[in-house]
Amino acid sequence: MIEIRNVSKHFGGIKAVENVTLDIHKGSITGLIGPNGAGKTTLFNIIAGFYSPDFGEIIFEGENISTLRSDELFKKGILRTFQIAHEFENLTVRENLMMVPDNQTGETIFHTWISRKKIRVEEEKNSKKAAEVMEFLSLDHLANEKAGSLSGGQKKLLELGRTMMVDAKIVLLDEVGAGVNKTLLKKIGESIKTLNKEMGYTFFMIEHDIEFISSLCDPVIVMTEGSVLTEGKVSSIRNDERVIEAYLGN
Amino acid sequence: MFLHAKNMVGGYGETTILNNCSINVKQGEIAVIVGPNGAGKSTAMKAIFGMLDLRQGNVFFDGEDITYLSPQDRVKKGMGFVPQTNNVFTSMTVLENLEIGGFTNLDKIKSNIKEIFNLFPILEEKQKQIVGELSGGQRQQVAVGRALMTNPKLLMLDEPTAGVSPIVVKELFEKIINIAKAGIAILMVEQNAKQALEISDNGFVLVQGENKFTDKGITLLENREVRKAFLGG
Repeated sequence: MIEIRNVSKHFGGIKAVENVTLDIHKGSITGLIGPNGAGKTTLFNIIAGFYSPDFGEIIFEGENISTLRSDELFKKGILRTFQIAHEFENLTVRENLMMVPDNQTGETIFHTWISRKKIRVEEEKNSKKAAEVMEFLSLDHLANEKAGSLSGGQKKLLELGRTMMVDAKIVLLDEVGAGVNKTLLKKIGESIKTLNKEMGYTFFMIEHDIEFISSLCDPVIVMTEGSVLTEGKVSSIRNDERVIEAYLGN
Repeated sequence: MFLHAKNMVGGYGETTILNNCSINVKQGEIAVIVGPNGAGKSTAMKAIFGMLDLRQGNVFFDGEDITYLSPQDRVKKGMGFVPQTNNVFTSMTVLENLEIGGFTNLDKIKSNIKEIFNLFPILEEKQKQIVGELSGGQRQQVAVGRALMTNPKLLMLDEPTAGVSPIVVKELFEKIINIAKAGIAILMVEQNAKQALEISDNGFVLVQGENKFTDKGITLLENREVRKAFLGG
């Protein structure tokens, strides 16, 4: 589904990502693990259009998307979440969710005058969808709270919720579990599986919680120092001496 | 009791987050606050550190009522706090971050930095590097190091292991144990609750701003209800 070919990204003298080649297969939940500073988030930023690669290319469903902007990638169904939540702090939780679908009729002044009914129907639909997402993520009691006043973990959930507002083809999750209570994380894992099996979403996720990764991901890719160290099933990764030394510890 | 936060009630605007919440920590002890998202864990830490005005309740520290002191004055009394985010100056070097941390203790800056380099050798190696260029785990070490520069008697850590790799989580917990062994009381909020409770003396499970369970870390880990509801089974 996504082919990453010989991709490199350097910042000054730092080789954040160096000659990375990997495939994310359609319908998979692919995990990306590795020590802090291994280049995982930089790779995400390249795939999601926040950076252009210095070398190499990214192919999505046969098309070279290396130079596309993140909004163009969003329209193609490539969504992402951020390690540090990017909520609109002065909007409510519901509003944060409802503004995700693009090309809403009410976005132009002209339509706010002549297409009121259409806008109302769209907003009702988005509001219903937002309510479902909030209920699922146990955020429903906070629907009218400003997102800026949420706790750290709740902001991460809102971040995940935004990807559930539209039909995605692939979702990139950057440490969605960090700061989220383990019991809720289990539930999120189940929803990822459901979205994967029933809706056909492909997931590519950076995560440090190895139990969470084990319950979801196949395959798992391990990065260190900007490059891919190894790739495989969790069971073999966990026993790989190089991974134990660089990442898991004894 | 070294830290005795008693019956705290407070929140933001009209919203009440803390609902009669009490937290106690003895000297040299590791205490952990766990609970679901939005339970008020970080808010309890802020209240103890003076970043949130309490509507009711008191905070006693080292035998003194500090409920109405500013965070700055609490630092002078011996509290150190490492927030969840924005806990380092990213455009400054490691050394500058540590020096700024020592503002209340100018005479001891050099000796404190030496001790912190002993505790976190990677920081000595990277002392001239801009903190924004460091990895997540290294940044957390800078943040903890900066807080230690004031020679705190109580160190408060809000999710010190969020977003760091498993090997670094282990390392950070080992460092935290070492800090506690040096006689500094530790109060931390953690989502890596199992690991945190394993190394803790006491644990507080908060739900909707109230104390739901309070017990020894090991006892909480064995409590089936706590495991199911808060530790992921």
